[in-house]
Amino acid sequence: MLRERLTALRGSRLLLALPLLLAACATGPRFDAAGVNRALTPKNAVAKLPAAEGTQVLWGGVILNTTNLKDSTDVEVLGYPLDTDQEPQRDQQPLGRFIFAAKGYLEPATYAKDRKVTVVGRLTRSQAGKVGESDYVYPVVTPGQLYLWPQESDYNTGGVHFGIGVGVGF
Amino acid sequence: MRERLNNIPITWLLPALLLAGCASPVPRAISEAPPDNPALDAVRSDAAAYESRQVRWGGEILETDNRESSTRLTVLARPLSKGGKPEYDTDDSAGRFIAIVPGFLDPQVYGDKRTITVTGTLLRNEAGKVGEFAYTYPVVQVQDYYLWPKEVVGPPPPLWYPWYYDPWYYDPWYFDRGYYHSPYYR
Repeated sequence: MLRERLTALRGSRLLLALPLLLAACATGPRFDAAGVNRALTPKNAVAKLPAAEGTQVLWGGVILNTTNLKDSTDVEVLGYPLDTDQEPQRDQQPLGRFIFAAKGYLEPATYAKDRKVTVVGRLTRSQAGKVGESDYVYPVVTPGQLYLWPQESDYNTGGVHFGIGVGVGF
Repeated sequence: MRERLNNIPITWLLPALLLAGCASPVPRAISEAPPDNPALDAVRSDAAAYESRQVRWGGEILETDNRESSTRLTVLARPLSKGGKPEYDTDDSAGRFIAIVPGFLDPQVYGDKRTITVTGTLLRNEAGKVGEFAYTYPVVQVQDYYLWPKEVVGPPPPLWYPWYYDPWYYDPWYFDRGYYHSPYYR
């Protein structure tokens, strides 16, 4: 009787552990994407801008440059498509540059070149700048929320790897 | 005397040798935090309250400025582990501080995002700029410091596969699959 109960308990504990394990695998900011205009990309936003002002966007990419201003920080990002975890996919075609203007101080050594960010926020204006000698018009986002992806190490040492080997003999 | 030495069994020496192998090069002042080690953000907001207090802080070196008889390091603080080592796998930071180290530190060595832990006394807060942002740097007059060895990031070691390296490993099927038996061989 007692033994049966114990095994039942053990089974339920295992069931409890499963969602915990799965939760450990899910990463990312999980920003609320409701109300986000998915058709707007950094590239096409500038052309639509005066009208599209205030539109919610969910954009992400790779940091190119961080500029600290008096009481805000401008971060220039090369946008990439986001996957289901809202993580920028840098192996895909880039979607153009954008700037997010964050309130206060962001540490430029942390918001450094090549780090990945995802922001959700309002499209506010366009800003003229230069890339080399070319004129470039950046859409500017005022971030509501901001997520800096953890640094990628050069080698993926963590996690579990499965491999399938194919051998050819002559 | 000599005889006596010879009489010491080698097994007695072993623990001593083993312990010597563990001896850490990290100075005690670095591996052990001073009592009530002040927090960086607390000092930043009120330097006067902490003047000449002993601190132990560490982090990533951002700038190295060689002066006539000292070196000023701008450090981005990181949380320290129990042994005083800055965590390197985190973005957690209480911000920047300046460490004044007496003498010359080679910027080729004390730079390039190396991690350092310092102990010393708090001098004052200094106003500086990061871009156009007015930044307040707490300043430490350093007594002891330790530059941590570079974290080596390498490929994961291969799976343990002893036969791979064994030149004497004999595969009875090897000849069967050998080159001359290949159907593609002409």
